[in-house]
Amino acid sequence: MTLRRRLRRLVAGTAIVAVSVALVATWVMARSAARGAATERLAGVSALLADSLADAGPGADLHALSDQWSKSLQVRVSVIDRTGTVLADSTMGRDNVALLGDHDGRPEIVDARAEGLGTALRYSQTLGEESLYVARSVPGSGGLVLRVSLPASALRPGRALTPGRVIVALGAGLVLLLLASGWLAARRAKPVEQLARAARSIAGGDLEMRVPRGAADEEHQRLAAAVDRLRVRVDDLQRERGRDEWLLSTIVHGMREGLLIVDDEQRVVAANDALRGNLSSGLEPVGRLQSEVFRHPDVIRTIESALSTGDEVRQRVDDRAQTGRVFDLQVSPLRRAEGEHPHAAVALFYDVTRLETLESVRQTFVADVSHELRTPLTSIKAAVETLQDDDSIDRERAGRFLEMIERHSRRMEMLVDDLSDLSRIETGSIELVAGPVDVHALARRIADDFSEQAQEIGVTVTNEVPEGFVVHADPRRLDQILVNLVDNAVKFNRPGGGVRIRGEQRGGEQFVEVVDTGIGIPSESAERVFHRFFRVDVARSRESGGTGLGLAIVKHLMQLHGGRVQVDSRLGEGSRFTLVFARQPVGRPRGSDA
Amino acid sequence: MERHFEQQLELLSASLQRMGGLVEQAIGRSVDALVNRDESLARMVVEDDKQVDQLELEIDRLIMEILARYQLAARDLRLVTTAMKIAPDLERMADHAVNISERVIDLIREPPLSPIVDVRSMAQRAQEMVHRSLDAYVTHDAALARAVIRLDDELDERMEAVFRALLSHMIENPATITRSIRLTFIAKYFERIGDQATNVCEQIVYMVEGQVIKHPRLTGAPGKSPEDGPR
Repeated sequence: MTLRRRLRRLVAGTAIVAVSVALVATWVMARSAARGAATERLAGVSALLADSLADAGPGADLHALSDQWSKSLQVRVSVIDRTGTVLADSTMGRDNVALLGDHDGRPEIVDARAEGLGTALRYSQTLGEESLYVARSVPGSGGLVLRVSLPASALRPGRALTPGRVIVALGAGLVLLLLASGWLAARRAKPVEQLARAARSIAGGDLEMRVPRGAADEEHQRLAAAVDRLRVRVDDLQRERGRDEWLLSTIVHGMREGLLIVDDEQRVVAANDALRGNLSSGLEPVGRLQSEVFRHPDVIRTIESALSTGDEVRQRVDDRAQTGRVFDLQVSPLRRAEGEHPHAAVALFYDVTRLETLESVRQTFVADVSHELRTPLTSIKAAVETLQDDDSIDRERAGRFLEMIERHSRRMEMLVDDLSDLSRIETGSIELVAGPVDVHALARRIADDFSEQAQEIGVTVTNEVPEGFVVHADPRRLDQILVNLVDNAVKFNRPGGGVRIRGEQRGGEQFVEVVDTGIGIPSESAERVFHRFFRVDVARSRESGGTGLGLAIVKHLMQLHGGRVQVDSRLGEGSRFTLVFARQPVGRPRGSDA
Repeated sequence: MERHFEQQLELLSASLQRMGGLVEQAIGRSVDALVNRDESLARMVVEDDKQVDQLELEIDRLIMEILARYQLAARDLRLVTTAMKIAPDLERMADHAVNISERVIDLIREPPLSPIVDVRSMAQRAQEMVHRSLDAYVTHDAALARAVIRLDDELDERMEAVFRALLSHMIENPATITRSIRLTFIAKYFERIGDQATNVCEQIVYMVEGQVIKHPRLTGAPGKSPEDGPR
């Protein structure tokens, strides 16, 4: 029930009860007042008449007297003798008075005989209605009693105060009260209703609304203030929650590690974008069993084991066959309370593909370096042992062994030099001192330097770089690059072959090429020639004194110049190594740092 | 009841996928063992085959339970019968992976043969077919299943090429005949794996579309031409 209606009912009910009580009280009081007045009047009348009767004496015509008095005084008059017989009665008349019975027992008669005056309000057999009786003994008459009476209908409390009028008046008052109660109830209930509406809106999510504070009562204002504080608090909480959610979702979806949460029935509850990206089937994982989502047996087993044992589990997952990746999977069970069975588990997939690749590269490198160093060391050791053991060795043979030691030491030195060079280039600890370099002049000098060595195997080195061809580079490093390339081109050539150094400008880039007519490189190895220690033909490379690091150095030096090196080769026909320089100068201007 | 049935179906699908995962891993390992001459990997394949057999038994039991308890119709029935037919195919693929691994263990005790390059590319193709057929099963992708079936022709061609290469190798170098025959077996096993992946895919098309595409001569379905390799 609404407050408004409840208030209205309360006020109306009170009004109705009050009016009813007033009505009844008024009626009762008015009636008793009317009766009192009538009794007094009858008492006075009876005294007068009793005196008159006494004066009239025993022989008087009682019928005539009672009729006369009745008419003039508008009351019923009776005379009763000592035995209770009615001698005269104004109502019955002279002829019928005998019909009236014995009145000896009537209370008013009894009282009158005993005390001289008796009154009674009782039902009248004669008149058939309620009547007020006053009886008085007539003095000196030998026990006569005079009685006057009025029917109750004559005892109305007064003409103006009819029950009908009272009801109308009170009814009008009641209507006014009801109207007033309605207005009052509305007035009292309105601010509460407004607050209720406001609270409903807040519950419905409208946190921007204004809570009305119009009510005059302090209680209402306090309530309104409380509701408004509630609104502000809810608003704050909502904002906080939104921020937390945003933060969480940013972290979860922004992280590179795949994240998955499964419940204790192994159903996926949540997964982030990184994880979805690693699923080959492209299925939406949330809501599915984890064994449906993943196919890799190690993943399924690891998650199962974490949930069943309750221990954190780590597992390396090699998924190179499907996704080309290797993961370090860590599954942590989640518990609501210590010692409880886990209700969920969080699985984190760390991508360790790169790490493993790097690790294997490092291992290979260490193995390669030790291998490269061991070869000359073995030769040196063998030569030294021979020289030590053989006392009778002649000078000529000893010279050959010493020469061998020298050659292999030089080789080791070269290798160590190249290694430290490469390491410094790779870690970026060398600074380029770049400036314009005249490639034509540089190529001419290199061609001259190699001419003797080339002639020995019947190879000609020609400089075809146009005059005035200038690139922006570190001259010392460019020299190192070209020497490396030309050295390879001469060594891996055939008798009668040629090496050409060319220069060209095309588009926005400058190209310096070393073209040979040598043995060439098989196409599947073309990219790998820039790897450290990679050799197309192991035997021939060693024999010609290469360290296997030259092209790796070239590649890294070109990267340092902001350029690149590319190879184009045909087995048996020759190779073309192209240095590509961007037109924009790269590196520090000459002289800024020496 | 209804919920329980759904759970049973889900469990069946998950178990089958799980079996698929194990099979795929076994095939992948046998390929790696062949390529990298890794004996320990090959032995792992032989060891782990027990798990596949175990899963097949579990799947059989689950299917029997479902068939005995529920009145299946239409799609649900296709789902269950498909699982019933796919499981033995998967189990046989795993057996082939074991066979391959056993041959690999023998082979890597001897010097490598040059036609191994062709076997490698064949193996990788077969592995890809298995991978894609399992993807098609998981995602109920009939189009993908059909694409895998088409790959089988290529695998058969590669198989022919390997045969020819190995044959001429044997004629030129009679000393390598034992090794060449072992490699021939391996190639044949990979070809069989491709056939089984094709079977699986035919079942997937039936499961998704309700259409039978195997044995096109008998069913009149547009499928592979009858002169395709042995079944």
